[in-house]
Amino acid sequence: MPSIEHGQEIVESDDFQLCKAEARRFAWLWVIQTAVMIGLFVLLGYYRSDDQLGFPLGMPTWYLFGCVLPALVFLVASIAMALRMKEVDLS
Amino acid sequence: MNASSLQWDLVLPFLGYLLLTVAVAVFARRAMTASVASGKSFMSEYFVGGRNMGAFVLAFTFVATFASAGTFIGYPGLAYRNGMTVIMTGISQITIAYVAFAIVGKRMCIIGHRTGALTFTEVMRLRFDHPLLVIGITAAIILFFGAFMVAQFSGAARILQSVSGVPYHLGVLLFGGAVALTVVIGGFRAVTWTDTLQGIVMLIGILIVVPAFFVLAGGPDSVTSALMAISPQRVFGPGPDEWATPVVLLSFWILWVLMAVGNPSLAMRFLAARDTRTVHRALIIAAIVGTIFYVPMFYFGASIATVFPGLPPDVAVPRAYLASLPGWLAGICLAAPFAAVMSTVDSLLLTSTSALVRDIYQAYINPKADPRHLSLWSYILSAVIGVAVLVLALTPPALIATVVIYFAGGVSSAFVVLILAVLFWPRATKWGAIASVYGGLAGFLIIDIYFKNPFGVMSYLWGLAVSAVLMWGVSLLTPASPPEVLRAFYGRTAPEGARTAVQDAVAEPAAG
Repeated sequence: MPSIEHGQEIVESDDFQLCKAEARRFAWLWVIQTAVMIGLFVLLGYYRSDDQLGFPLGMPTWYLFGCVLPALVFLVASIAMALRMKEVDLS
Repeated sequence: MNASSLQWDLVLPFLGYLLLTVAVAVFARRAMTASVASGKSFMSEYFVGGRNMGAFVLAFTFVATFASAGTFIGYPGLAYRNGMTVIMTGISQITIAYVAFAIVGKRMCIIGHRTGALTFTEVMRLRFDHPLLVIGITAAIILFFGAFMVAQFSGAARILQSVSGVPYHLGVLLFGGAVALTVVIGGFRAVTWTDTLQGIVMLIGILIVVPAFFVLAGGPDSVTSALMAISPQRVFGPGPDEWATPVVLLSFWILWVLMAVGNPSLAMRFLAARDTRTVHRALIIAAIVGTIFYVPMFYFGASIATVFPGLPPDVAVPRAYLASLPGWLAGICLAAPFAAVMSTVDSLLLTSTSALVRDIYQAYINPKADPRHLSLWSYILSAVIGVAVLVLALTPPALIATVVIYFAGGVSSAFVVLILAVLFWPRATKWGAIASVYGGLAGFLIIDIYFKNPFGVMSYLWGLAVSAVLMWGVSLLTPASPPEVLRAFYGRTAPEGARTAVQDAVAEPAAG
């Protein structure tokens, strides 16, 4: 894909485009993980009244379902995405 | 020092660990010497380990460099004081591996192989080619990294003193001596190999001490009940004195990830990766190790208050180690936080040395320096900086504490936009880069000193915004970089002459 910048034209390399696409995917993963986990923290762990408190397995609900579980889910997601990243020939 | 006042069951494993670290460095030195003898470049061997780093070492050197005393002592100490809400701010560190490897790592690896760059600053120099930028980056690295190294040594030696009775000054000498020796004798290879050892020690330490402490504390049920009894604010947001508002949470989440993206000593690691497959595999290993580090660590920190209330926060973690494990095992596991200190400091020391030797001395002062001359300067400057840090840590000046306060914000404001622009924005120009680095740093300092977190948003984010606006605006107003440089960084295989022009800028002597 040509990239025209103030009259100078370079043809972007395939690996540059690949890296941009992969970086964008992981950036989105981070945005989603941040939104989900902070959202769950606030939803489950902020300004709780006594009747809203829950302690599954002895831990606060927000820690188990807002922290540990999403951390594992997003870990699996990041590994799956890493496995799909394409190699670049550097020779 | 009275020998009988020392906790020998803690001191001996610690000393054994230091000796093991130095032994690994000696081993790395032999590998480096053999490579150089076979005709490989000393500079390449000393600063990027011959660009042959595998996935396991890359993953562990990344994780161990990022994890500092703050990870094992400072942040859990904060959780000890403020409770579980600290988890909500610190847990974002589980994301740094995939962000850093996928966004920065792969591109840095490719650029390193294509241009022959050996250091973080050199990448910036080849892309923008202006001494003002190189000097600014080097000065920021020396200032911020130097102060951070002093603070790490100082903090670690105080903790060592409090738990084992080793006098403060002796502790500083032991830490400083081992780190300086590692860097001087073995360079990058020694740093990454010892980082790997230290990362493994940290991992083992966490896997042993956290379950042991929860058994001591009576399990999560007892811990949560005890924390609720102290105050529900220790368990639920926004925490004591409403310190962790959602805006603060978001600020911390962004800060941690920017610390990984914008840290030159982390970026430098990717230049040494063998190939892109190595980066992918290291991402997976680092993500798994990071999750094991950070998910339980801060919960553990908050829990210590239920068993040992009223301690100074920095002593809480070592106290929990001692209470949960038999003496000798506690000694071995306590090496984990000290390993975190050493693995961070040796990387910062090498990054500082490389910036001075490669990007100031070789680039601007003596471009025709022969390999022997450069190797001598590498050893001398590593030793000088190491000793200077060690001496400063013996009696840390007040100024150090001030600089350390600005470390995270300063590094983020100065480097994040610069790195992202180099990696992904062909239109970035040298004037945009210069304005971004100096303006971002100045903007952050002015905002933090005079306005402090305007509208509840942390000052570093404002500094970052200033840096981004300056990079964007000034770049669009100034001429684009030369086409041969753009082709080397972003384009298809460039004409032979153009690639040579970029590589000539490196100007490494043929046998160097």
